[in-house]
Amino acid sequence: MENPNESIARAPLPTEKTLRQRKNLVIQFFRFCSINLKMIKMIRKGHHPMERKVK
Amino acid sequence: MQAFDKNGQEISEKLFAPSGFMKVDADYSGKPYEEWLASDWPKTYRNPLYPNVFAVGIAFAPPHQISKPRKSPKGTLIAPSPPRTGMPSGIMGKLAVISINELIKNGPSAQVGTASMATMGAACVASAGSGLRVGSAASMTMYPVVPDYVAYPNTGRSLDDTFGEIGLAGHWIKLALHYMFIYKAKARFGWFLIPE
Repeated sequence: MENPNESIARAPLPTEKTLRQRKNLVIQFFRFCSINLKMIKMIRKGHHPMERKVK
Repeated sequence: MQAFDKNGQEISEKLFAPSGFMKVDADYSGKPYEEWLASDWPKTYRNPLYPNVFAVGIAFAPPHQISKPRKSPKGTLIAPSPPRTGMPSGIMGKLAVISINELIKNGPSAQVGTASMATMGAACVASAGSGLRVGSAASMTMYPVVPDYVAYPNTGRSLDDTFGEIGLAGHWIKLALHYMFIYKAKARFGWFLIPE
């Protein structure tokens, strides 16, 4: 079986460009809006505990 | 943990699974992995023999793991259990409170709601550094928490609603959630609009 340390060492690392994007205020503002919208959509889909009633 | 009825008879086996967690309305028949279904998971979180007893969050006994049981090279059993804290426990707790309210108002025949982990999603924001300009956090969502291979054949999950990414935006979300949950805990105006 493959050594886990070797597979971790082969895992892709973020590029310099990706690292810069993760800290860019403009890009991150749009990501903030996008992630929030995605979370709201997911919550609206699954947060209805009283909709299906059983005896 | 031990439990006794009003006559002093031990009822631990009726209330608890061998793991010590409370049995609820789940399928505990011990089916093999190939037969696992999303519908095996509890919906009302009531003990079948004592329906006035609820167990939510980490208190209830999961019917089985959420992915195929495997073994490490050293033989250690890897049995992943679903996350039962945070958002899912908040939803279950809310369900139990509303159900108890219904039971008090309408008696044992009252209708109670359901909140299966196979139909609920969860979001998690894991902090990886603070600071409004240099902070970082991993934001992730998963829907549904328990995979449903009937509704989503390949992955068991909705890929539109299951994602993750790391960045400064995650830190802003974490900070916003911090203030939102304190606001909700204080039951300020409109608190009920803030999700669990």
